[in-house]
Amino acid sequence: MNEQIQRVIDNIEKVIVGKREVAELSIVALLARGHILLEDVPGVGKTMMVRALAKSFDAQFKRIQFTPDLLPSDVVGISMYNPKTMEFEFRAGPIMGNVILADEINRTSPKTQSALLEGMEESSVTIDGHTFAIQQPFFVMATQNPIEHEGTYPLPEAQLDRFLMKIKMGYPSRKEEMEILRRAETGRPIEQLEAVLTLTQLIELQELIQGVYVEDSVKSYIVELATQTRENSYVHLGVSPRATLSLMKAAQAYAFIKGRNYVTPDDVQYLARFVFSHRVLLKPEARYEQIRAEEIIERIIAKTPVPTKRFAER
Amino acid sequence: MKKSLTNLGELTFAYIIIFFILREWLTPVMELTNTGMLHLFLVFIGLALVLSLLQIHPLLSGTIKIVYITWFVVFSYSKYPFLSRETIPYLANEWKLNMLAITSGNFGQVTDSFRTILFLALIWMLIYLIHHWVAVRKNIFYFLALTVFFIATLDTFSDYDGKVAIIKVLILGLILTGVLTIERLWIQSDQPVDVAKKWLITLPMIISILFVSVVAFSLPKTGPTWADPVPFIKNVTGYGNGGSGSRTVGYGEDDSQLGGPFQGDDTLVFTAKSQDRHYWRIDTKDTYTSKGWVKSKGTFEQLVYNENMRIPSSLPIGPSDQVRQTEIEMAMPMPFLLQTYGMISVATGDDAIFIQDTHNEKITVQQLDGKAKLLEKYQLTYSKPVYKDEELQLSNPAMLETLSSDFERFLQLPETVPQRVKDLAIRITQNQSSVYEQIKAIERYFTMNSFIYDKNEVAIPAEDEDYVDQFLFETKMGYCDNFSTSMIVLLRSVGIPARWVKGFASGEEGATVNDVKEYHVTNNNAHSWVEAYIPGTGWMEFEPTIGFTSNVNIDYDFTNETPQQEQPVKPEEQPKEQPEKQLEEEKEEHSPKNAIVAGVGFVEIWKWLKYVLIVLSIVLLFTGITLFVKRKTWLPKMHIHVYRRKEADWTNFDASYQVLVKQLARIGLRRKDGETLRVFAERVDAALETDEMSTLTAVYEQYIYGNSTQTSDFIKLKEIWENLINRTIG
Repeated sequence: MNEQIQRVIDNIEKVIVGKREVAELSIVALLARGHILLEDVPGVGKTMMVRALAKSFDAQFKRIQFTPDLLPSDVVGISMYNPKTMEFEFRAGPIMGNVILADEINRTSPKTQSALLEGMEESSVTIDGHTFAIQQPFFVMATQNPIEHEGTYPLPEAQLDRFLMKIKMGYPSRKEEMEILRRAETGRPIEQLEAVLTLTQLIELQELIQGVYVEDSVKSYIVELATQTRENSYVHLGVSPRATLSLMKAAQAYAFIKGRNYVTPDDVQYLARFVFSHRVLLKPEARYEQIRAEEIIERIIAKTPVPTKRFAER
Repeated sequence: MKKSLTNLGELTFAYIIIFFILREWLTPVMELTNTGMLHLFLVFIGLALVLSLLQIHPLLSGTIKIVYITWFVVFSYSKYPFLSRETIPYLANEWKLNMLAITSGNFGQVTDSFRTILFLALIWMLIYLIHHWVAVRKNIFYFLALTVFFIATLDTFSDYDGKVAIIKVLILGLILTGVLTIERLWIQSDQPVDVAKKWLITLPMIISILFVSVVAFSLPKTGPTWADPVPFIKNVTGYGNGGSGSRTVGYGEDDSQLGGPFQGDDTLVFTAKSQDRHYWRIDTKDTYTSKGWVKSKGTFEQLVYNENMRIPSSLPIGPSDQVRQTEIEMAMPMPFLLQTYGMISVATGDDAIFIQDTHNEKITVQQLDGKAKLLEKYQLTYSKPVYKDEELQLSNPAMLETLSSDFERFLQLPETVPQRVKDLAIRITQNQSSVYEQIKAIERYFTMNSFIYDKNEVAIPAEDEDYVDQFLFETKMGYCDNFSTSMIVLLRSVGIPARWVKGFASGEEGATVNDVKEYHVTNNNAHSWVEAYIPGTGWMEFEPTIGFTSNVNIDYDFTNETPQQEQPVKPEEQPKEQPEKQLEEEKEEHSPKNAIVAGVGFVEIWKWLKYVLIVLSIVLLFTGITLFVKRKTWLPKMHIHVYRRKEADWTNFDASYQVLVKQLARIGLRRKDGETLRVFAERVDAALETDEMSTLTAVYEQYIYGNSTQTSDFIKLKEIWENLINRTIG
């Protein structure tokens, strides 16, 4: 485990009990300059997780609660006429932060959703012909409630593709929940949380992970997995090349936080389920047979041969 | 404790079944060898099984078995009680006798008691093997297959009826296989031992086997779709006893269908006492049918002769000063005479008449009242014919044209004789000036053209084939009938009269008393040869068969024959024999007979080599199979040896890692397609109860997925690797 990352995770764990995997994956996404879609019921600690993450890096944390009446300008900001200066002044929206929690993203209209997603993809927003760069690092964790469907606008496939990973938080175990109570008894631990890394250091780390080596055999393995999703009989639409690229980037970040300077098929296998499963569109048959996308990805992983020999053309 | 008890229970069950299967091994052996001690052997088997079951210390169990074997021998083969004073000397004496027999190679003299000991030792070893199969391998297939094969073989080739035995063995074997399979599955699944659960599976298995057996037994069955393979196998292996295609050697009447293998028979037919070697002539035949020989039709005189009357024949008689006697003592009396060449008269000392059939010159012996008489002993007076070389050389082929019509039957040939046979005859004889030389050329032909003497691999001509043609051009392998018949057909093809003679060859030489030698003639000596007619000389015997030599006396007119005459014993005989012998020796140096000797030698060597090759290839095959089956134990050791010498670097590390993965696959730890090395390594470590595979794999991962070229502690890695490989063997 990379030492700096270890410190971050330790820091987060001061606040969040358990959930080490979610913390790790969040950092993977952060380092790979991707975003996370968190699918879970309310109250499992999503906000706390993101806040802890933001605090650990001394990053600016913003939270947007998506509602049906939220407007794009409520997200990206608005140009207002300043009578004093007789000029239009840009007033930045909450997207102009480092770590953003987009809560219940499927409750708002597609128009507002796409404003956020565009910002995520381009790392900039355009208002009244002016383009404003979003400050770096920029990390969005969007959540959606998988239970309530009334009055929601499910994200279209193309939008889902913009998230690096979709993860689930899940309930804590009894023991963990006891621990949560114990910690909350005396006060709010989040308030005492201190930064362990600076934003500059984070940006440096982001640069570093690009140097993590991906052997051709592993690249070919990633491509093979992607190809398999396109050829699977349950899948209507397989993953895009963007997904392939995302998987490699995520694997690099993951290898890095594990303290390695090369990617192994284990990294790829571990991340494939988070990177791929929200990007495949299943055929109705799969839904009739109650096969979830995660299961299909698991099956593909199980049957795709892992490269175990040194790549010949090296 | 509970576990070992249930284990013991299971083993006992298996051993009871084994006992009954072994019983089926023993029964036919006892039955076929007329050994009436089945129960004693069974007790030994039971004893050995119990000792093996209770895991008695080998020293103790060995002692018990040896004591039993000793008791067995003393009880069964000596008249002394077991614990008497004579026992030890008896055993020592037996031991001495048998060791003597074995060291001197007289394996036939080994006594029954020693054979019993060997047999018991064999059972001992077998039970040791069975214990390994049942308790360790938990697989009884080899034993079962072997048992079935054994019983089936005995059933097929001996008088033993193994029908019931095979059914019993199969039922028992299937049950045992089932029990062991359940046992194996149980171990593989890592379930705790649960006797009740096990029986829940075992019982239905046993019931279904029994049910299937009963159904199979009671269902009607069709007869075999194949013809009985036994006669065929017996023919091929040469163990026939008068089956359809095979015959026993000996003198017989019917020669209309020649060919096919025959079996040797060394039963003594008669013993002759004579100063000379003879071919014993009985009968001639004149008509060749393209499949064999028959008598021609036509009426011929039957001439009656009395005791000591001169019996003339178509054959010449030697000079009157060379008259000698030979005594024949029949072991198997026959109603006809054995004639020597140059026979003059017969004396039996009994009232008998001799009837000569002028057709085939066979002389039957009758009592005065016309009934056939079986002579046990008689004396022939003869004078061996001497053929003058000079005369023989004068036989001009043109003289054959002028022969009388009496010779027509000796020139008979069926129309079916292929042209190539006739062409061959002309080719062989065309450069010879005299009839005699022509005949000799044909006689020589066989020895010079890689014909092979063989009693077993001899073809029978098919419907549209000619016996002679097949032998001359296709098989080139046969015995006397092939050679003699072929020679006659070739002779007749060029117009030389020839007939087929049957009788016995000279036999095995025995003791010599006063120049008179004993000849023991057995059925194996039954023979056929050729008589050809040479104009100006008459009939003369010829021997085309490879490995046989005739006894013709040829008088080469040498001028310097006198010096030998001063020999003390029978001076008048010496000069004649001496030059002949000399000549034979000389001849052997130049003539093609040398080639035969060499040829036969080569054939012998080839035969011998063939067996050696067969045995070698079987040994190789078995070694190969064993090595292949056992490869998971010896291959890794070899690899360790190999990699120890190799340099410690990435390439060799990679190679050694691959070897390890392969070896793991051999012991059942196979990486699945979608399994990463790390997951696989964890699985291996769990199975082998170590963490070394993960250590090794971490380094290997770095090598194949990483791009750094840093070195590693290869010495340490090699150690780990060796440990792992060794774990896979243990």
